Amino acid sequence: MSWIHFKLAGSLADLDPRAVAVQIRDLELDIVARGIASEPLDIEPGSFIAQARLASGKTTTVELTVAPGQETVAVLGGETDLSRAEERRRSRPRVASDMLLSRMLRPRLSPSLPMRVGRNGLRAYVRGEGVASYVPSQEILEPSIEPLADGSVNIRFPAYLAIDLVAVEVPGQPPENVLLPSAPERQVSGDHATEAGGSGGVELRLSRSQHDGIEAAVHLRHGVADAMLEYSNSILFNEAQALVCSQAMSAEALLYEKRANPLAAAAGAYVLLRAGELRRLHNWTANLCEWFPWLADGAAICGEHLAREGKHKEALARLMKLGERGLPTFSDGLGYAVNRLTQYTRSGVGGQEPKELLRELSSYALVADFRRTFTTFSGVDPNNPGEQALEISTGAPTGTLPRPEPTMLEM
Amino acid sequence: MAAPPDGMTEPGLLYDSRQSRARPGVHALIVGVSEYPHLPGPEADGEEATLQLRRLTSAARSACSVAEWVLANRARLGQPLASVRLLLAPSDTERRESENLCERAAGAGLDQFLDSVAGWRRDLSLCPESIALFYFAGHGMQGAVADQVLILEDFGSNPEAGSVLRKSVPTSSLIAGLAPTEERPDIARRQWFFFDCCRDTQRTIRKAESADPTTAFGWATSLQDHREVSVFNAAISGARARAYPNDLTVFGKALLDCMNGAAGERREDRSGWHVSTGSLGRALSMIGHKLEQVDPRIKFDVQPRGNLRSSMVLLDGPPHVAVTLTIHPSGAVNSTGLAIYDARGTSVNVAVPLDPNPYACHWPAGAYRVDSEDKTSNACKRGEYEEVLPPHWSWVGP
Repeated sequence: MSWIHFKLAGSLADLDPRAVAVQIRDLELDIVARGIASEPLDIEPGSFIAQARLASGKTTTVELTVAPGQETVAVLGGETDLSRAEERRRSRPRVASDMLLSRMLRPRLSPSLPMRVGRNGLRAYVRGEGVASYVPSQEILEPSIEPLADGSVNIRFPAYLAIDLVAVEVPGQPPENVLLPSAPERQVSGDHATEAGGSGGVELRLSRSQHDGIEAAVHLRHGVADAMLEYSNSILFNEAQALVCSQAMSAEALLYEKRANPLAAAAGAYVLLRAGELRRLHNWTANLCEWFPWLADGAAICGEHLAREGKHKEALARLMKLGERGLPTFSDGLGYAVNRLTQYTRSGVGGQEPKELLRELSSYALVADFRRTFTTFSGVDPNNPGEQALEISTGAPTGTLPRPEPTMLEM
Repeated sequence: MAAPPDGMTEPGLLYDSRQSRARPGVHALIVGVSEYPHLPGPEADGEEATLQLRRLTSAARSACSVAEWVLANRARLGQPLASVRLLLAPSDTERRESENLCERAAGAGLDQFLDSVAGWRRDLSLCPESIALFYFAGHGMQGAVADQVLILEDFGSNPEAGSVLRKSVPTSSLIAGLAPTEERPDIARRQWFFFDCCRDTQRTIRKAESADPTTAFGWATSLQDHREVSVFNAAISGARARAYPNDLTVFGKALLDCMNGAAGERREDRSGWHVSTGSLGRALSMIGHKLEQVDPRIKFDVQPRGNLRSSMVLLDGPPHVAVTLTIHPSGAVNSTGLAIYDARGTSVNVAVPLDPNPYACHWPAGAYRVDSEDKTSNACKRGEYEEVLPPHWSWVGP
C-alpha cells in the first residue's frame, strides 16, 4: 500500500485543504479513492490522475505514478510553466476600473455616519415581532469590506450583529433581499467572536451579475461548511459527502465543544437532509433547535427531521416555533417548512395557527429563489415580498410602490 | 391482480409489463396538455376569468417525445420498465405528428388524471426498489400558498363554479401522496418528478378567497420516510417555462439531450457509463445556465435528492462531449502545434493549425491530454490529463 498526500499550490494555495475535495482516478476515469486535501489517501501502486474539484465546477488535475510502499505528494493547482501561467493571467478579461464594485461601494465610514456607498446600496433591517415584520435597523454598522481581485467585494458581518435582512439595491431593478443569520451577542459562543480569524458569522459577497445587476450571495465564514454547502448546491454529491463526514464538520466540533458554530452545524444538517441520511442526524437536530433559540433554521431542520421520522405532531410543534423565530435563513429550511405546513393544513392538522404561519411563510416562498443557499427574494418592501416581481410577471403596469426609508445603511 | 397485457382496461396504459408486480420496475406517468378546450387559442388574447392562459403548442409533443424515449430505453433504465401511462391533450398539429401515441393515450382532464395517478400509485406501492417517473408538460403556476399546481385539460370549463383552480393539482400533494404509510409501506423509494411548466405567480390567485386546487391523494400519516425524491423544474418559483416554436419545450429538449448522454458520467462500480440523478442535475443546471445567458427568462430549478449516484439510465459507452479548442491569442494559431492523446495514449486527430479558431468537435468522454508546441522556438509543453465530460468541455491554450 502507498500513500498520496496533497499540497495545494498556485491558484489553490490560499484554500483551506480541509475544504477541498480530492479524488484519485485511473486513466479510464474510474474513481480509485476520494477524500479531502488535508488527509492522505492510501492506494495501490499505479498511474493515476489526482484531481481537486472546486464547488464552481473547476477541476485541477495532476498525473501521478505511485510506486509500491512510497509516499507521493500530489501538487494541485501549481503551474509548472510560469510563462504559461502569466499568459493565462493576461488573457483573463479585465474589469474596467470604473466598474469595480469595490469602487462603487467604497464606504465612507465614521462612528456617527451610516455606511454610504453612492447610488448602489445596501439597506439593513431587523425583524420585529412575528415571522417577518422588518424595520430599518438603527445600528451603526462598520462592517469589514474587502475588495476581491475579480471586482466583487466581501462585506463581513460579525455573527452577533443584529441584522436580519439586507436589501441590495440597484437602480432600475427590484431590490434583492437577503436574509442574514443574526444573533444576540450573549448567545453566541466562542468562535463567533469578532477576531479576524474567527469562523463564526457570514460574509455578503456582491458581484456583478450577467445582466447588469448585482448578485448578492451569503457565505459562511466557516470555510469547510461553506465549501460543503457550495458542493451541495452544485450537485457535487461525493464532494459534499467528503466534507460533511470530515472531522471539521462533526457534531462534536460544531455543537458540543466550547467553540460551537451552530450555523455550520445547520449547514451540515441541511446537507444530510438533502442526502436523506437520517441516521447520521442523531439528536443533532433537536439540540440545534433547543440550544440556539435565535436560529430559525434549528426549528425548520428539526421539524423536517421529525416529519421524515413519521413524528408529525412533534414536527408541527417545532415548525410552529418559526412564528417567533422568523424566516429560516437557509432557503432549504423555508422550503421544508412550507411543504410540511402545506401538508398539515390540508389535512386539517393543528387548527388555525399553522394556516396563519403558512400564509406568512408562503408569501416569501412564492418569490424566493431556491437555487440560492440563503433565503433570497426580490421586492421593494421586505414586508411585502415580491410586489414588484408580481407586477412584472403578470404584465400589469409597474406601479411605484411606497419604498421604506431606513435610517441606516442608506447608500 | 395484474392488468391485462394489452392495457385496454385502463385508459392511457401505454405499456404494461407488470406480470410479476412485486418485482422492482420503473412506473412512468407522462402527461402533456397543449389543447385546453376552454382557453383561447395560442395567438388570441387571454381572458381574466381563465387567468390569461391560452392554449399551448409544444407540451403534448414534449410528453410524446419523453414517452417514446422511455419506451426506447426500457431495458436500460435504473430498473426494467414496468408500466407507462400516457395522458395527452394534443393540438391538431401534434396529433398529426404522433397519431399512434395520441390514439393510445387517455385524455388529460382532472378525472382521468386522478384515476391514472391512483393506478400509478397502486403499482408503485408493491416494491420499495421500484422507481416512480412522473413528467408533466402543460400550464402550471404557483398556487395561493407557495405550492406549484399543474393545470389539467378541462381547466376553465366553468370559471364561476367552485375554485378557479379546481381543475389543477398541487405538486406537493402528488409527492406527499407517494410517501410510505401504513397502507403502503413498500412504496417505491426512488421518485423522479419532472415539472415542465410555468411557476409564475398571479395576483388574482394570491388574493383569491377560493383558489384551492384538487389534491391528488387524501392525507395519510407517513411512516419513516427514506425516499429519494428528485424534482426537476423547468422554471424557478415566479418564472415561466419556455418552448421552441413548433418544437419541444426548452426543458423537455434539454432533458432528452441529457438522458441521451449529455448527462453521462462514469459509474461508481466501474461497469460503464450512466446518467444518474446527480449527473442529470448537474448537466441540466449547466445547460440551463448556458441558455439563461442567451435568454435570462430561462431558469431551470433542479433539486436532485438522496443518493445522487443511483442510475437513471445506462449508456452503451462513453457519451459524446462537445469540445471547443481555442488558441489564444489568435495570432499564435499558425505557430502553435497541438498533439492530443486519449487515456490509452492514442493520438486524437485534430487539424493543425486550428481552423477555425476556436475549433469545435466531439470526443467520447474520457481523459485527454493536450500537448502544445511553439513552432517558433520549438518549445514543447506537455499538458496534464484532464477529465472530459459532457455536456461540454473547453480548452484554451497554449
